[in-house]
Amino acid sequence: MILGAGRFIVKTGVRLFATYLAVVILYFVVVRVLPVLAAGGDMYADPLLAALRRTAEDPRFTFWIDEAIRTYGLDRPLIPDQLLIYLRSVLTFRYGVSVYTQQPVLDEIAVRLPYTLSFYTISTVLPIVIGYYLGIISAKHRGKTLDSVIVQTSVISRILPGWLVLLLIYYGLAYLPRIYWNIHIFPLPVRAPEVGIRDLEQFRYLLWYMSPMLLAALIAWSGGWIYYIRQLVVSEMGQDYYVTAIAKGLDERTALSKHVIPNVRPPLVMSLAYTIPDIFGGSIIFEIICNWPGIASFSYVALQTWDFPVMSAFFTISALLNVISLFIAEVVLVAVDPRIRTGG
Amino acid sequence: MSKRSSVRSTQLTSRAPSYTETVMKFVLKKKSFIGGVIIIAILAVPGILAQILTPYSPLSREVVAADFAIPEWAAPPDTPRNILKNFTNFDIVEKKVVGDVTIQASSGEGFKLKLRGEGRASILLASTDYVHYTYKPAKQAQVEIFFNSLYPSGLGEAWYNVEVILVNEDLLAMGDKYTVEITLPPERKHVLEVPKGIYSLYDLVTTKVAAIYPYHKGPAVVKTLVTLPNLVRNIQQRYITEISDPWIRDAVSQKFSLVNAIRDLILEKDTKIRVLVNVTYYCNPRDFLTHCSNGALELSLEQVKLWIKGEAFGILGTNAAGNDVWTQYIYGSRSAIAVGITVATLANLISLVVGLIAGYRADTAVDHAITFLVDVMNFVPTIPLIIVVGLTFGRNLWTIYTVIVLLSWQGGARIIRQWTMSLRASTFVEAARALGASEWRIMMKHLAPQLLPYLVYRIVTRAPAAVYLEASIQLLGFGDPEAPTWGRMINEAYYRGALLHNAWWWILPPILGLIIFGVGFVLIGMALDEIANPRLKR
Repeated sequence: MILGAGRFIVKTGVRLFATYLAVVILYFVVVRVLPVLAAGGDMYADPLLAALRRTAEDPRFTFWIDEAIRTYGLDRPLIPDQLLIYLRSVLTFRYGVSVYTQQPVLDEIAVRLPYTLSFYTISTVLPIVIGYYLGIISAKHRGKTLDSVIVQTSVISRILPGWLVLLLIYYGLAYLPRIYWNIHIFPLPVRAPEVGIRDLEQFRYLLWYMSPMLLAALIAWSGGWIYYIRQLVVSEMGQDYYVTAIAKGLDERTALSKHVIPNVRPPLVMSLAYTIPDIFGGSIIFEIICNWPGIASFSYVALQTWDFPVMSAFFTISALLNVISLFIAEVVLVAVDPRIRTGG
Repeated sequence: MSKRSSVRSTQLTSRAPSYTETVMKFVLKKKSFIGGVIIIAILAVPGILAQILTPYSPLSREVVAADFAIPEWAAPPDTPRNILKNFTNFDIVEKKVVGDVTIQASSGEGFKLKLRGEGRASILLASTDYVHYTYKPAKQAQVEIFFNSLYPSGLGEAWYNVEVILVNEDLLAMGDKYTVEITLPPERKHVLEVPKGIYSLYDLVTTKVAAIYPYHKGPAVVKTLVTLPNLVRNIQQRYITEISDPWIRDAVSQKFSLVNAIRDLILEKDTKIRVLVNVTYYCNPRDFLTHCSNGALELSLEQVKLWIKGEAFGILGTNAAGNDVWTQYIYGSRSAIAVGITVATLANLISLVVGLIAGYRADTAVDHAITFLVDVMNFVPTIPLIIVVGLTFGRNLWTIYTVIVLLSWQGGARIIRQWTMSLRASTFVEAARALGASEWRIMMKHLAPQLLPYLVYRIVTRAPAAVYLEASIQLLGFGDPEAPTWGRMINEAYYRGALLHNAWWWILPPILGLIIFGVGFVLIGMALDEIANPRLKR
């Protein structure tokens, strides 16, 4: 039993690592190789080189350029030398030094990663928990008013992108009460919390600042789960085994928890695995709109100034978070799916 | 009549209804389909008629009214509206002549004034037309002044000045003053009074002769634009020059920079506004500073255009730059519908081809490669990649949409692959294969039509996603700054203070447009769900 699960997890891990490597190489090709190819093999079309040359015009940085050229191997061909250097830096997390701030990228990212992770995890897990319970409640009351209300609300919520809801919350619950009644319910997305929490006051401000983001995430991302779980449960309730269980005199509650829900979990986890990139993309938008001190808003300036080390760190860490989330989802799948657990 | 209908009925009964007809019949019974089509039509019709519905272009950024003008239908009746007045006719209302100066005035195309002789003259012209102002005082105005002056041939060297003044006669007659009060630290209080109802717009003299005479020499062609209230230089100069203490002068000029000239000094409800032109003429041969003999001047006053910018405008008001929001909204709906459907169609065609190939050759090297590619595409962080590609290859709409197409086919491909795998074993494929049909022919002629309903369903349900993705890239500030899309509107509104100014007419239309757009497509998708979805069908 453990052997089957272990083999599955190892296989998944290898597959996901290969996927991660491919995503990382794809990024290198798009950002470094394609511009050079598009310019007909002109090495100076390489955006990194162009950015470095712009930086070199600043006398403060001239001394640094030689070092940068050595680190990135810019005097060597793009493929394979530079690709290998890039891969080594990505796989060992040695992204180098930011072109503009002259700080090690990893340090800057490491300070901000908890903020990204905290918002990303909460905004992934909370909608699923809410969707799980509301979906089952809705399925229990199928055909009644409560069910149709929940379904209609969740369909509308499923359509809305999170950032649109966030804008509406900021407008309706943060700005309007201030303009008309001078009531401060929600914070304006103006004074972002600082990186690093020193006292309780800062922590409370952080939570207050996060509240509209979380509310928007709940409104926008619960609907899909509610709808999906309700459909799963309802379709399972039409199966013969459930009808038999009810006919044998089992009450609905036990039939649901003992028979239906174990069958619902595996497809739920698989569906989660495939929506993770969307959720992560959504949380990136949230971070930038709200100036949330995570890696996305940190990389925002870097993106505009072609700070290549920060850009590649941001991109590869984003991809890595996606891949790790999928890995966790697949491990959870092992735990909930008896077929994989027993190796069958 | 009866004959024709019987013919039609026999025609109908003579052949079985086609697949499309049955689908249409089924779908038209669905309320959600009708509702969705109506919603999309409500968005699409103004988009198609955009050129008729608005005279402006969404990209020219034409200023049509004041900043943050509210929609006309939501504005109280005394909210300032656009007032455009062209002053071309003038009358001489006051003449002061010292010495031997002859004055000749004629009006034709514009107003012409001829002055000749030695001496000194001051002539005040007033426009015969006036603006009867009936709203609350507006905050912004703009005056365009066109005149030219020249010396007749052989004569010249007269010194003169032309000053254009905006006047509210009723206010001036009342003699009200606008008081500016300044208290400086050791309890020194200064009160300055600026008369209301008069404001100097333009003065030809920029450098005085030997810092004494406010006169100008030489011909002049003046085409100038004065925006109010930005020009506070005039009032400052007039009322501050007497103050000797530089400290107080600074404080006063700071205070004056807060005075809104048009709102505080000129406009008042139910009053008349005119343009005055003050022409002074000076020619004295005995004045060694100015050296003038044979003095003569021809002044041709073409027009003075006054535009009091409305604070209520059009159907959806204006944005922070005074551009028409309605224009941007309807062009946005046009691009949303066109682009949403196009991008979704292209992406789903890719997923159809890829999914068919992978599913038909399940468990071969090709299939494994495609499955791996689908996995890779699924884990590419979409938004960072779009941003990076936009920065590398130029932030234009086409690049962004191309990347969106290339990044959104994998989900469909996975499902189509699974479905193709199950269809591969069915008898009609076996039959086609037995007849010697090529692989490509089986895929395109036999399998693809089976998948068509699902493809249509997917296109309909994915159409809003492409538009939302573009809008989110715009909101982050990495979109095409010239794109006529709702995303750009939201970006501008969010970052240029629509929320702070409570400009609901600016921020809400694109947001609600996007929501309604999504709802419309989802309603249609719900109706198609039962026909198209393999899970529900089987």
